[in-house]
Amino acid sequence: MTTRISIVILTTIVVLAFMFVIVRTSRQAYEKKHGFNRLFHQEDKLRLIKKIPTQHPLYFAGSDSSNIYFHTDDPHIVVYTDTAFSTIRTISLAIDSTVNRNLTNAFSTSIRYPDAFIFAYNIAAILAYNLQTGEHIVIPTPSNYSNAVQISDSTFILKYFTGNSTDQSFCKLNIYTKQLIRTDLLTEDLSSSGTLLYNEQNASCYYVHHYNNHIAIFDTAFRSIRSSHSIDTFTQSQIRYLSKNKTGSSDILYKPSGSRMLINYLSDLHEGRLYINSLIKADNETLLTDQSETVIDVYSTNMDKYLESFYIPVPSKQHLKSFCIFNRKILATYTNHLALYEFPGLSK
Amino acid sequence: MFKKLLLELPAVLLTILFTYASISKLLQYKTFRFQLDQSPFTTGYSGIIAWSIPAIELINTALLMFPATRLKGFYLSYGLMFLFTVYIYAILHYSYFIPCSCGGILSKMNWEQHLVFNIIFTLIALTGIFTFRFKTKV
Repeated sequence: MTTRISIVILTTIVVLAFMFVIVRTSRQAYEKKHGFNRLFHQEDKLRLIKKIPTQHPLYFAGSDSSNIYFHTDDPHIVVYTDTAFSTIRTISLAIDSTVNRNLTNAFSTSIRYPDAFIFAYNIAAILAYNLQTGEHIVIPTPSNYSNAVQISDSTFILKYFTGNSTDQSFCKLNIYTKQLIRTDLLTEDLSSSGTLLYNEQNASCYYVHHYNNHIAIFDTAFRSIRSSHSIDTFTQSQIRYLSKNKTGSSDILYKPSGSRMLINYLSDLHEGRLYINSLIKADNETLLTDQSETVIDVYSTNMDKYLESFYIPVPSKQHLKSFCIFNRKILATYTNHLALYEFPGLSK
Repeated sequence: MFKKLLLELPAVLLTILFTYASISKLLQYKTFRFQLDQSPFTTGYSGIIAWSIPAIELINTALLMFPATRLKGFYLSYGLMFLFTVYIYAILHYSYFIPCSCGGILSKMNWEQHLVFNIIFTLIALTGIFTFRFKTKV
């Protein structure tokens, strides 16, 4: 019996030591000094207005004057609430089971009521649903894609796989006329992931890279307006890719290789400001390591100026899934709840 | 008879678990590799882990099936289940983002449920270690 106890204790120690090394190694890159500082003007923390428990993680999908819409990890389920957050309701979309299997891990939903668009990245299609009538159509896209944003009732900009050495590029698709405009005007390396946003105020798109600090801004004719970057120092992509040809196909397949490091994760545009959730700790910060808050960096939308930063709370055992800013409030969705905070605005 | 069945139960449960887990990982190799790529802790080693974990699980299944090697199987089961438990705890508490869950039936569970599931099977492996009796020759 003594031998068994000894082996169990030894195994426990080895496993704990192994995981300690793994966790420590994964965090080291984030915790060291990166040579930049943030400005924090607001002394007080965001004030919580309302917290609503949810059965599943929710992701912001759109809003109108009366409702806010979310999608879940299950493409069937769309959730919405009124702007007072009095009730949460669910809409179930009829999605074919074969299509549904291919959507797993590779979709997002955008809602401009009554239309819901499911971006089915791996099946080269946009699934369009009318939430009032239940009617739905499948709109083919030129190929698989990794980002999409709606720029008008009929038009979307997609970051699609070109099938050639450029890997990915942008195109504009009119879902009614089927007109497709591809571009080679933007020469930026788009092989790693990012967030694609559309700013109605200046009719321009923002592509915020996840693994480096580049932010590409271009108009809807794909003319580059500005190539900018966030305040951190990560100009080089913190992810490496292996590219190889798929067996029996001329397609180039890109696979992540080695360790990677997320720089700018979630983003939102609101009233002339670009809000970016950065995962990189500034030299004048210590709070990120305990994960009780996550930082949002604020820029002017013409990207000529970093304005300031503030924190969104991240409760224990929760992760921030999405956020959006509206009516001087911040809506944040977490692992099992959503929270509404009062947003006093920026100090200037 | 009932006592004998009860003593065999940890080995039976762990054999079913590791057989299912290893085969589902191999059948959904691409998904499993993708999920390892997503994990902040395993992203750099996903190629090795995607093969080695199901391989170790299959070896463990074989060890559990035969009385002569069953105790070694229990030790390995404990090591694996404890490792998976600590991994999920670390994902929930020390990771900057949470990757998606694993495949098969287990994909129906969220991370918290998965943690409880793993703790139960870690305890089952410990029960196996401390209740296992070698057959004595007459």
